[in-house]
Amino acid sequence: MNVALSRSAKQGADLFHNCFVNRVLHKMLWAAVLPLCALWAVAQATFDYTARRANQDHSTSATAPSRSATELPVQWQGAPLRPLALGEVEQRFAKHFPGTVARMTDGKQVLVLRTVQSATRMLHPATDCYRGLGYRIHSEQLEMQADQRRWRCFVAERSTSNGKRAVRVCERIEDAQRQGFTDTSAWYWASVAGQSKGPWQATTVASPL
Amino acid sequence: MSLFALSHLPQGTTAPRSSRLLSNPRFVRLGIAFDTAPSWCWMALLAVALWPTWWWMSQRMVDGSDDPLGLLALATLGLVLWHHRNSLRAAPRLGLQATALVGAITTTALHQQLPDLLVALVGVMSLAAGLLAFLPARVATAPVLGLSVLALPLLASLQFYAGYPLRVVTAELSRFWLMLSHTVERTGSALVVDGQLIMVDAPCSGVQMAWLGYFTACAVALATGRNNPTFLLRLPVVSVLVLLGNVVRNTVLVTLQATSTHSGTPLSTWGHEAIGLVVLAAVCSGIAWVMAYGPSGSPSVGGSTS
Repeated sequence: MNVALSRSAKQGADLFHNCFVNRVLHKMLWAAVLPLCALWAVAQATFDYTARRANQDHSTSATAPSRSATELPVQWQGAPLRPLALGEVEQRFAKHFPGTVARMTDGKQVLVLRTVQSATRMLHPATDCYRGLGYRIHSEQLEMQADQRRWRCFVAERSTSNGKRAVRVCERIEDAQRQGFTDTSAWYWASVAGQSKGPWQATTVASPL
Repeated sequence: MSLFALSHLPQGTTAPRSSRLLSNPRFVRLGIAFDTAPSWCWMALLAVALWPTWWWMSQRMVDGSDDPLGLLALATLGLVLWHHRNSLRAAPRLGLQATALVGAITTTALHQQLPDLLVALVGVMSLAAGLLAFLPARVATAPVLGLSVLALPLLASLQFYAGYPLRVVTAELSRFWLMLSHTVERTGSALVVDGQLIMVDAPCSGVQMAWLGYFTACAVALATGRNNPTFLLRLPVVSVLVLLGNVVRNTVLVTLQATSTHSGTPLSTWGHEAIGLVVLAAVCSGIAWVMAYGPSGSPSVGGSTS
């Protein structure tokens, strides 16, 4: 045993040599540091939760409608538009969003306008947001509308306490030169490659079915 | 085990630190307790330290914004661990153990400093390093690391970043085949077949097929005991098979859609999905065959004891 211990001692010079001393030191380090990591994360999560609650209280007391700093259109397909507060879909759009978000209505349809100055992953496709809210997506297709612009349209459906709720959603991204994109991935690569210049506006139009 | 590990060691240089520690009976007693603690305790400790990563991953999996395919990869890792439960190393590979510790610290420190997916990537890689430290040396490291990456909820991000380039490649390769029987033009990732615009959409990018292809490769490599060089050398074949499968699926679907629209009977949704599933099954079977072909490789070279 003593001979073994002295040999083990000789191996200790190399911290990664698999000897008794090194194994014990590594395991002790795990036992000391890993619980600290877990506790640190708990403290961080508690702090974040408290801060978020405080922010929520603040935002509900001061009714915050659309988060927009850009000039908004005043009409849509000839009908006058009025601003609305952000709904659950738009709040999901706005989460960590590095641009501006505005929600408007012409009385029949709801328009969500998202504006960004640079290419970002945070400009989610509308399907991601609807799926995240429990909608089932189907009938996805490209569509040439009356304005001769191409849109990506789909139907989003979900069950509610009042039965089924279905909306037809069309979306499109347009750059400063009015060049359009129906796909966020295509838009991202065009903007990264410099083929499309910002600011970009993503327009999502939702019509109840 | 400890006596074996203490005595079964090669010669080295003198180490005053170790001598001092070993001359302390309390260290030796405590050391034996630490060294003989079951391996699963250490892995559980690592998993607990990485809880914010699991929390974020579970949120992403249940909120519907991403396909929960990562569960399949996590379950496979669990199965690997269960399969080797009786041969876990009491003397873990220290390099990997240290990597796992640094990874866990980095994950904790970077939480909310970097994008969640990137932090989770560091988290799952440190878990993989921790598992590999305790798994027997014959378990290849590359497929375990591969499964850990696949466990992440990354499909939506892959669709965003790689979706368009993959669709362009697929549409272009499909165009060559379609030109044999149709008039075809490609605009971006869409095809104009006989004057009809057909979009090569997100599911046609092959991201899901690629995920399942790489998952099959990792799972079969672990099941058949492939070593790292064999697994890595065969990995490019996976990409080729996925690309070929995706082009075949896309060509068949576009042809059927173009033909059915002309005849006035559009392709049904189930027909669309059935074709996709048949091609997916063929691609995954091909990948499994490629990975399983030939005798099992020699065990991966790892730590000194197992």
